[in-house]
Amino acid sequence: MSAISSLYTAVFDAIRGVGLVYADYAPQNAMRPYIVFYFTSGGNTREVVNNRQRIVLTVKCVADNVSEAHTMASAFNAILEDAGGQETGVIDGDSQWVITTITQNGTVHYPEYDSMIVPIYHVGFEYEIVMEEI
Amino acid sequence: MATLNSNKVFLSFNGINVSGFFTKFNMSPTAESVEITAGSETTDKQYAPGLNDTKATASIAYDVTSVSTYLSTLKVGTTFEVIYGSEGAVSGKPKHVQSFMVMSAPHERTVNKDAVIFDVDLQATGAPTVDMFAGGVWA
Repeated sequence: MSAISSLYTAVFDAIRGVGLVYADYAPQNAMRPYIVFYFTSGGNTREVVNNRQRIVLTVKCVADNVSEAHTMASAFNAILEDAGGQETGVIDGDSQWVITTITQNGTVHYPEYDSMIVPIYHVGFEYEIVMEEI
Repeated sequence: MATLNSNKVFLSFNGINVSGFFTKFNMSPTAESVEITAGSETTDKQYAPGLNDTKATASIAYDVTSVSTYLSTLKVGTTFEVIYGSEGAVSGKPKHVQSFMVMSAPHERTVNKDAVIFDVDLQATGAPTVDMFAGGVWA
């Protein structure tokens, strides 16, 4: 299993209780609010002999109002931030990859304007995740 | 035929294989020079080789599962045998065996959650018993 595959499974399983969750992209008719997460950047750090990945994952809530977006973002952040195996241990990987740390790195906050008069809000965070192949 | 750039080395401290945890290894043999200018020489100084010395540095990652197996070898003042194979422990490939003393072994923690590494300074306590520069190889 690749690092991305392990990470996606771990994150999806961890936050699915917060609401609707989609990996990479949400379908066009997805009911808001929902969470979508996707790979942003990263790869093998080559810091050690093992394959050690440092991956930035963006996780955001898409909602019809800013308050709802912030509430849902806070909910998934409470699960993800500092949840790695060397932290709270809630998200520690699988039999092939250990997730050592999950760190909130950047903030996502922007309104999306389409044909609607009221904007759709995107609120969430970028997480820097370090994981190492077992 | 190609120039070596792989990270598949063999490295052991006091018989403990740390190859899987090394991130950097540097071995620096040096020789002193002794001036022997004498006699009728009028234009150039003359030198002869003096005593040899070897220093080394190693960076060893803090592996949460295995650190207890090698941490005691990094204690300052400890003397142990270092075995180094530049292409792993492969028959016919270069091998170096020499006793070293640990001069320092600092490690650093950062708020940025960087990998924790021990940077070990080593001083040879004598001549190598197997010298890769003199043709030492794995049996």
